[in-house]
Amino acid sequence: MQKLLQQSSQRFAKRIALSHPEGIFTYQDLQLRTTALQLEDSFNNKSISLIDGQQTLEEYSQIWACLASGKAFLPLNPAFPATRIEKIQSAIQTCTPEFLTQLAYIIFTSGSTGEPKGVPITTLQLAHYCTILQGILAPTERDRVLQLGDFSFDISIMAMAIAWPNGASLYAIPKQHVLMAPRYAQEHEITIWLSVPSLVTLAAKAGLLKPNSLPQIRLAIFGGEALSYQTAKILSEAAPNARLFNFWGPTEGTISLSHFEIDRALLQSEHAPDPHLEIIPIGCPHPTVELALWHQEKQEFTNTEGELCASSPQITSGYLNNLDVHHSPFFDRDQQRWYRTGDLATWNERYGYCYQGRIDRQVKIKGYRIELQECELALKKASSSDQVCVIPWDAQLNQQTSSDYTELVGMIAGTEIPSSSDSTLLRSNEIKQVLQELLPSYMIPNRVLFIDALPLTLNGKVDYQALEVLVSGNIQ
Amino acid sequence: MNVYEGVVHVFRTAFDNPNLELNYLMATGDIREWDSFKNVEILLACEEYFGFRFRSKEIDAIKTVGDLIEISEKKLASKTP
Repeated sequence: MQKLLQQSSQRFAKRIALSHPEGIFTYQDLQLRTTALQLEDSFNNKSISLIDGQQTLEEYSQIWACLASGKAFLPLNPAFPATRIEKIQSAIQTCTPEFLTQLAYIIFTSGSTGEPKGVPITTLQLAHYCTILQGILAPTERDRVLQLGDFSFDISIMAMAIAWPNGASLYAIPKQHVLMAPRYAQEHEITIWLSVPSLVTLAAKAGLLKPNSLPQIRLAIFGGEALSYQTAKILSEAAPNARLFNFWGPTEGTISLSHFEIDRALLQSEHAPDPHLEIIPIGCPHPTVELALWHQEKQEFTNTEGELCASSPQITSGYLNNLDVHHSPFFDRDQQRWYRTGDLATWNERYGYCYQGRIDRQVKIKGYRIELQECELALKKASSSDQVCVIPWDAQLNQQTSSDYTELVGMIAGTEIPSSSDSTLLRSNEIKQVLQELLPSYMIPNRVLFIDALPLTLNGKVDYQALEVLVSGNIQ
Repeated sequence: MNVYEGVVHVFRTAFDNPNLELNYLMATGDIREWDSFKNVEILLACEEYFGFRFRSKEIDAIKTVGDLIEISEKKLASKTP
């Protein structure tokens, strides 16, 4: 990684490396700042740099300096509660300096046990990933890459991995104005758009993504969450000259492990022309990555449907804090090390791997196995809203977390909220009638709630814990 | 045109609160439901109300209600489109 950045800082010295609200830095500027930092004890004496996540110019320089010096960085998020930061700091105390010298960064992700999991990624893994991106996207020094999202979400590191080894310019947008990204993209003539799908949905809802409004974009890249056909279509129309990509992968796999290039011919109709396209496929593995589907009941790999497992040098060596060793997602099979991603998928000869949702979003109710994502797709059609969620519910305990679900609750945001309980009931029944044509009866939500907005986590994903509180209060 | 009153009108409409009071130091999150999406709504509503378009550099500089008022006043004074 150091070598990649050294080469680009020499070759592209005068080109803009970073355009930030606080100022503009060339590659030469960043390298000079690194040289200055390398003389400071406060930088040299630390085995790892904690980045607060305010996303200041100083923090970007620090990240560059870490990558260019072979030092690890750990991005935090100012919205993290103090207890989470304490846990993170405790976890890194367990790391030896020798271990840290191999690392490019550590990112903490949510753990199903409630403890954040520290994912270490080495400089070699990150450098290899940069090479993979070069092969797929061919970024050049003429590119201007949009950088959104918090540093604690590795999609932000993906933007740096696209731009910096290739002499391209990284354009950072203030966090509080991230939804104005289309405006920034127009003014700064952004050529590479990289975002989570929900940002495109929300920007379009605000009227900021009109057709043909971003003609200068040549690569439009989605990542970080499931991409719906409608969202892909919105950006394809806004950026008519862009190649469109859907990238998939867990943090544990060094940002992404597969990609699917979306043929524009597939996006011409109002609705997905093929059920496999309702959620855009995640395609085929990157070079040096092997993917396979694990059948939990048969305890073997399958070629139909199962949990996506990955084997690759890109996979992390293991969690920092080594949590929950009895349910480790890492396993050995046929002399290969595999990682269980927790994502369900099917294999399709035409499209590659097709994402089916999180394994923890597959439930059993009254003996029936239900994929909640399938319920949600149907609810989107029935409600004409892209912002829906279906959760399993234990009506006895009035909670979501249970081993004995009794019903499904559907939530709809982004539409007019009925003004009375009568109109709510009427609208709810109308939606359920449509659902009857789309789903078996056991998959139709027993209750449909209308809300202002789906609560989201810091990374823009649906916050199921917040939903539980909302639903519980509503039902009471 | 009184920019402060215009901005108050925009905020009161955005938050559906005719009695909302603003102070110059208020920022994202200081009012319930004031998030990134609400920011977009406020900025676009100001553009429509005052008849101008914010540049990205101006958006960068808007962190508080006070910044929004100051930048809007400058834009109107210079009659920048």
